[in-house]
Amino acid sequence: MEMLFTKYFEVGSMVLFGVGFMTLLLHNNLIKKIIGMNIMDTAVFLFFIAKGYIDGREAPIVRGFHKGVEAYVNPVPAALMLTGIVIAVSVTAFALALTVKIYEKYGTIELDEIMKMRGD
Amino acid sequence: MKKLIAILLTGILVSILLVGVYDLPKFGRADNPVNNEVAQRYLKKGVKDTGALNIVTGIILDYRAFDTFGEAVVLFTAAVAVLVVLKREDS
Amino acid sequence: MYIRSFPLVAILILLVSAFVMPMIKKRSIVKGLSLVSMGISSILALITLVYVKENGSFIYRIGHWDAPWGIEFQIGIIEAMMGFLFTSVAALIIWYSIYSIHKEIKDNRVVFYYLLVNILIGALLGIVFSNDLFNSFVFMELSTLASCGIIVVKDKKENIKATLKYLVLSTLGSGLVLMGIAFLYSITGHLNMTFAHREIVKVYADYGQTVLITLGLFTVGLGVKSAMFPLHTWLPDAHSSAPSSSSALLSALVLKGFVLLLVKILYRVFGTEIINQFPILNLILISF
Repeated sequence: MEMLFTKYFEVGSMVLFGVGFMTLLLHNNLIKKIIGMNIMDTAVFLFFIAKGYIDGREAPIVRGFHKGVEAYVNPVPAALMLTGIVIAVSVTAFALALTVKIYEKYGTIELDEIMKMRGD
Repeated sequence: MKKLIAILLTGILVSILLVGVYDLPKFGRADNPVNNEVAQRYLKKGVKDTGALNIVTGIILDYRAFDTFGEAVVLFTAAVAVLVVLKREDS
Repeated sequence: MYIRSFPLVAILILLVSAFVMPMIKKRSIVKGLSLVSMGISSILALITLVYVKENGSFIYRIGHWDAPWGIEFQIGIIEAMMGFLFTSVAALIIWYSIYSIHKEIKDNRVVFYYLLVNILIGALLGIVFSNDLFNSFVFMELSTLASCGIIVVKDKKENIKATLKYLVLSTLGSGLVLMGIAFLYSITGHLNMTFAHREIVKVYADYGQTVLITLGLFTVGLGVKSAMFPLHTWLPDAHSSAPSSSSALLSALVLKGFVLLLVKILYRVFGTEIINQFPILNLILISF
């Protein structure tokens, strides 16, 4: 239980992952499913970024003079997640384009109604 | 019924992940395994090696530039895929 | 030794020729460019295979940074073999599709089809050769987007439904894989597979639960992508509704790329002594 206070970033990101997963499972609306997908990705990004934080240090940007290794947080997770965010945006764009096309072809974006329309 | 299964599945998944989090090193400490010689070297020599004052920029554009190349290709592919999906018949 | 840069050159030839394709107006030139680039990279992969067979495996640095700081390729015998297999099979499929593609795809999409095929094979080669976890993740997403693209290119009702199903499920899978990479990074501090293995052997006694959960995340995430038995629900729709040459590419090459990545993660990152302690191989191979 004391984990809730010492590792609040990690616990929060896991709960956020659960929220996204539940949104993905429960909703029939495709736009809501895509929103759930994005919440899930964001949770993973938050978890990864939290790995880089160190108490009392500042962002890894050198201003004026270099303050030494002990003054800055770990820059690697931030660099990786920049790439990850661009990938998530690309996948979201493609999924939204598919949703537009599905609305054109089927006339609805409710998944259970689409699944009923077999054949044709 | 479907809702119950979804809630149960999510509960199992989140609790498994929380068990994983419980074992992890403490949050925000300087002696975590994450802050090893790789991150130290980036911070120590990043400015001299790459010439970028923002060390994150130095990492994404010089040390791990192949990742950024892949990211650019992902953007290009997504643009092409959206174009494939939304292209009109008559054009 | 410049033979050592051939794997990177094979990937770059495929991706750069894909960038050039939208500027070309004539469709026959695009088809020829795709076939020629795939042929050249399969020849390069064959030379690499012969070289690896003679001289043993080697490590190629991308950029000029040494291993834990930069990204590197490690090409052993299985990587060279899979690289040659992927490029040569893809070249044969493209050769077939040149004569049959106009029956299934509308004319204004043919250029984009060959573009996506080139990017797909380049991304698969990236997965096969890369020795860096996050770099493999980037190429994994790239190949997912490209394979969704070559399914949806037919523009029928069922295609779009199947593609959306595939996209949502494989995004779920890649989210789990990224979570696994985050767990692994937080207990080892390395993204390079060789160094992560060196570190995880030292510390896995302290983080038993986390190592087990990380293994599970990688297996389920890559299992969704490579359609392992209980996680295969997206596969029948996607493969049956795709154009026939895309279907050949998907079932012959794409899934095997992810299986090879799972093998690399299990054996190169975790190593035999860790995976022997968990029943993970029995679950994958269904052998109790």
